[in-house]
Amino acid sequence: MFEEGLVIVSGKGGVGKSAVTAAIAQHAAARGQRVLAIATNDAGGLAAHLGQNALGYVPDEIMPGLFATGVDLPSALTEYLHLQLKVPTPGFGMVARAFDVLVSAAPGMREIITIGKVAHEVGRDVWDLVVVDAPATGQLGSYLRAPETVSDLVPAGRVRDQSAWMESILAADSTRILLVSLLEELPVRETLEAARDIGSNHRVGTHLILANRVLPRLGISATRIANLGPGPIRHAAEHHQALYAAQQQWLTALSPRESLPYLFGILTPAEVAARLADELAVAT
Amino acid sequence: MSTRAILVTGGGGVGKTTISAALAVRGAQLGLRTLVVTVDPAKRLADALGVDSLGSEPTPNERLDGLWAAMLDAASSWNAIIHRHAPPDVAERLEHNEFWEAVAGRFPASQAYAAAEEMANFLDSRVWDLIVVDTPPSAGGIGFFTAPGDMRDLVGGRLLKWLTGARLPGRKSFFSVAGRPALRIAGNVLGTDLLERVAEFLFDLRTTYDGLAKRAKEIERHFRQSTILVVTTADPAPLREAGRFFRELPETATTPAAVLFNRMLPVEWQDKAAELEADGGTRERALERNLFRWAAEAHRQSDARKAFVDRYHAPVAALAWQPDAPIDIDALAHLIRSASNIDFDQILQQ
Repeated sequence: MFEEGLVIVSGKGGVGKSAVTAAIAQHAAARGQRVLAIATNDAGGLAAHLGQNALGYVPDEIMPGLFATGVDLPSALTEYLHLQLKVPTPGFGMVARAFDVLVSAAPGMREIITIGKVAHEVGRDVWDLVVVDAPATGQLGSYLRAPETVSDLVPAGRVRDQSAWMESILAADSTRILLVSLLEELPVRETLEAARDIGSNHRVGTHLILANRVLPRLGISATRIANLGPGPIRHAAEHHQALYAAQQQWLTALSPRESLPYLFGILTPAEVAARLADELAVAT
Repeated sequence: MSTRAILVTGGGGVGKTTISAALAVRGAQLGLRTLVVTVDPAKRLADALGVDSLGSEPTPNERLDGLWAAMLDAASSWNAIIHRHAPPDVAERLEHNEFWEAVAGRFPASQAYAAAEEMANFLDSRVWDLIVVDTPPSAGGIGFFTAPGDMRDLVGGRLLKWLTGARLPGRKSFFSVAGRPALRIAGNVLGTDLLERVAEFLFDLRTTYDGLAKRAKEIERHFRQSTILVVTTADPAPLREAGRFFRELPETATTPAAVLFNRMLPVEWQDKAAELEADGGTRERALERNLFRWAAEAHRQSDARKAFVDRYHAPVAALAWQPDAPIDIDALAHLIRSASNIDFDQILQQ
């Protein structure tokens, strides 16, 4: 399901976006795919889930077949101007500074530079899968809209041509947006809103929802639990039962295409991602 | 008598809004006239606090005397800021500018700044003894404290100065790309028209500078007199955000008075699981397995908390994981009173 093309992973803050991104990348690499994982804002989360201290701008092979990069705005801007707009060296500084101004003030400019990097990597045709740890759902709309916004803003020329090309990459059938959610009120609400927005306002290949940290059924009746004597066994059972019931309620509202289980007692981010990668292998 | 502020901060999804509400409820119960300012509460919590619409004025709670709640709408407070700091005709023009929405809606500091200015207004009104602010999660919470400075930089014309040259002209008619040969190269790539439109927008934005810079200073003074509480769970991502308040504390903020570990599991579960393991087993296999996995979770939480304390020597409190998020007044008060290790009544009454 997530082994080729472009997968953009988004979701509300705190739902495990970076962990899921790292898991998808590791799972695909384990199956022999050549994979690039891209962190778009704070690279720290994805780096930790991939067992790294930091991610550089130049893709680094961190496991066999798995490369990772962190997009920082200044480097991405320089690359965008050089490779995509083909700005010549004389006058480069001037154009870069004009872009600095635009990045702060003009809609879509900051976003287009990040998307430009993603599109550039997809367009290089050296990766089987590019998986992106994208901004949270709150900002996702302005990213997806960016190529169009910029086309409206810049009347003609190279910036506009590049934007049209980015739009075509986002709209490709092999592009999927994965919205990660937890089975809790606020994430579910935000995920459904994002899904509606993508469905009606953006041209992207497909989008689907993944529920993360889903609890297993306990399989013991409430009556039997109520008959237990007080103590940790009963308390833990009641705790599980109550969380499970709440999750089931939100599961109905969310109706995710995929789900990943709650992981008990796993400490390091790298272990979390590795376990989730195993779960993806079981699911497919 | 002056108003005290407690700023509740932390990464997304850690229960900051619920804990802010709980602190405010307890403050009101202790006889303090208390206002809780919140950003995006779950519906049932909003109902319990008696705020049902965005951008509402402080509303007194029907069930608890001395408790008020207000909900911020960042977009509308940001418009209010422009109208406060720019001449009326310029404010009007800014609101309808094509670049406006991008700056107001997306410049990360703008939402945080709008909330901070609103907070300062409530503090200055001196209506309340205590204001609890559920701060926006920008940059893991740190963004709230750097927002006044970031906004000053944005409207202060650093960008504009570059477009117009070293001397800032008094009127925007002085500016044209054609008149600045150096800008022609950039104009070739972007279109001179776009650069001029951006420059014009920045000119208008700059009219807010004097008012905004002064207000930003006052806000920063409020920050330095406020009590900061950091909320986290024992999960890696929120812990990394919480750690930033110790590793890279902005000079506008004070060292957090406490770090609240939310959704903590009982430590006894670990002891009981160890005991069961030593004994061999009981009849109820599924129940036993369930205790073992949750005990492993409890163990992971204790380790993460210990590592945090060892590294930052921060005063920490633990709040029990309640499967049904507390929403009514009594449950909220109970949540904060049952915190381990730290007496929040004392922090509230300082």
